Amino acid sequence: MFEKTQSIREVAGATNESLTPELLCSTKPVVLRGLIQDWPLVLEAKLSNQAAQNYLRQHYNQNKIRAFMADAKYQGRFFYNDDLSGFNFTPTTTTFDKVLNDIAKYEDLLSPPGLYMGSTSVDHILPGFRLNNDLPAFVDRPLISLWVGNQSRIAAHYDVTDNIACVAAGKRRFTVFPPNQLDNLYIGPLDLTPAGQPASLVDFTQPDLAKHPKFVQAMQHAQVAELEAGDAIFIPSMWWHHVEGLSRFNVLVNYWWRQADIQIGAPMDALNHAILSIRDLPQAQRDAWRDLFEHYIFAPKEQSHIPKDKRGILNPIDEPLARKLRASLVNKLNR
Amino acid sequence: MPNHQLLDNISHKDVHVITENTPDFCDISSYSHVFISEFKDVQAHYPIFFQKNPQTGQFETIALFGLAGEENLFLTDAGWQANYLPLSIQRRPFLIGFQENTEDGVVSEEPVIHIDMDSPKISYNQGEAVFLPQGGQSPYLQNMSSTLMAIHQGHQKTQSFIDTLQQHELIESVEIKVTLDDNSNHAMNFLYTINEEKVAQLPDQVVTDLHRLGYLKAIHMMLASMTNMSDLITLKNRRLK
Repeated sequence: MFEKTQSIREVAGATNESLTPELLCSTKPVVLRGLIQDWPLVLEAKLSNQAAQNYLRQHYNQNKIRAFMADAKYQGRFFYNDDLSGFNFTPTTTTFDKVLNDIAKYEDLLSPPGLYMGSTSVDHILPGFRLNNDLPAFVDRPLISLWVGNQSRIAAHYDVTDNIACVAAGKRRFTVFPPNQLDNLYIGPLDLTPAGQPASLVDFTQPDLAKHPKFVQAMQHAQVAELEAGDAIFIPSMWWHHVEGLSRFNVLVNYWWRQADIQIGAPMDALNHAILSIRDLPQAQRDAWRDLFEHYIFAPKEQSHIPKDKRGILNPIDEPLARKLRASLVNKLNR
Repeated sequence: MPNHQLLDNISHKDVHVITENTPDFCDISSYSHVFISEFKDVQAHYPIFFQKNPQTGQFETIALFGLAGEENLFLTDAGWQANYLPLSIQRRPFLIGFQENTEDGVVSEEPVIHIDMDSPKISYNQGEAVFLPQGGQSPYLQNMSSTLMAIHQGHQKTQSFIDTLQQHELIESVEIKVTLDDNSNHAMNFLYTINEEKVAQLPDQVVTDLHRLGYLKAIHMMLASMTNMSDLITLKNRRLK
């Protein structure tokens, strides 16, 4: 299906010096080959799965974690159930040790059940791990998470944050699309999502082109990369990414950050609010709002006809302005 | 039977709560849980005791409202006859439930609001609206939400207080015997209080530690609250007439 897809731009022999401001602000994905090849966890993983599992166990503090289990028949596709009324996996609260033990136990099975621990704060469960397994402080306060599982396939979705995803064990395939492929990817419901983000309903291993014909166009814009332990990928904010853990034991450590100050709100809240407030207005009113959004949000014009100190929220948002807006929104929403 | 439901602005959109506390609109119980954070207000009106939770066997602090089971001497047709209502009475018909929540892989138990739909306080045409017309939270609900939060925090603080008292073996069983104006005798033997003599004999360092934690004040408030037993007896005698 993806034979003719383009590869993602690559930096060979990537090092910490590869994480330049240009790269971190890039609007295209970049594969960083070998970025974390020196991490002790990667070295253990190259010896054996068991060595990597033991290394992780040594750092674990017994805090509870959340993991997903899926029947073997789904072959690692953690997704909706057939009628989109729920999901095909079961969440459980368990320990990281149990997840590692079960994955090890399933390694010999021909058709293992899927087991997946997604985005779990590294510092929350593996204190001390980052002393020897970490990227340098390349951005302020990134969210650093661990992803561990056997074979898995996570439907194409975007994240609001920029992302550096580092493969620490196993092999992973990333299939990415530019943000504008939204319509061609047949995105599912906004309010019930398998992992917190709206996701493509297309089954990438066997796309149903009768049901999802525009997926053909999406495929023309797809870029693919396969990463081995030690490799990393930069995925810009809002790029769709479909992620497959291909080995019997896969570990990913990722860094998420926003190119926005902490007081800036969540864009998805704005979209939800617009759905509530604007989408069902008459066409002419919607058109007027489109102009207003263009004028104030998407191509904001310098409001030079208003004295600077009278521009209020039309000035760049600083902390006091953000607080004022937030308080007023909270008040107005509660009715 | 209580019918606890997770409160939401769709299933419970038209629910109102009758805030009057009269026998028709209040579950009748001879005591309620009280928390160390409200002792100052509670001790002005009610005797504060310990009792053992029938399920867990753990001590808990209670304010006593009556001399027999299902008797509440403060609850009258004219309303609740005291100027302070303990938090665990104020909260009704709401209660705290817990929901597991995961954020960035950190698993936590989040307190959420439940409502007892079988409470006599539930109404659809009188009392305070729980939700605003478009589903927002009414000022009344926001108020209840702070009451529930105070209870949630009060639980933990009161438990530490009790643990400390037990560590110093300051809790003792007490038998309350009352003779009423009609010469009837009533006894209650499920209550515990603070052993005043043991408090007096505590080493200086322990006294200082208890003081620093605010527990010494709480101990004295509990002891002083015993004078409210005579108010309970007066109220009871008045009912005999």
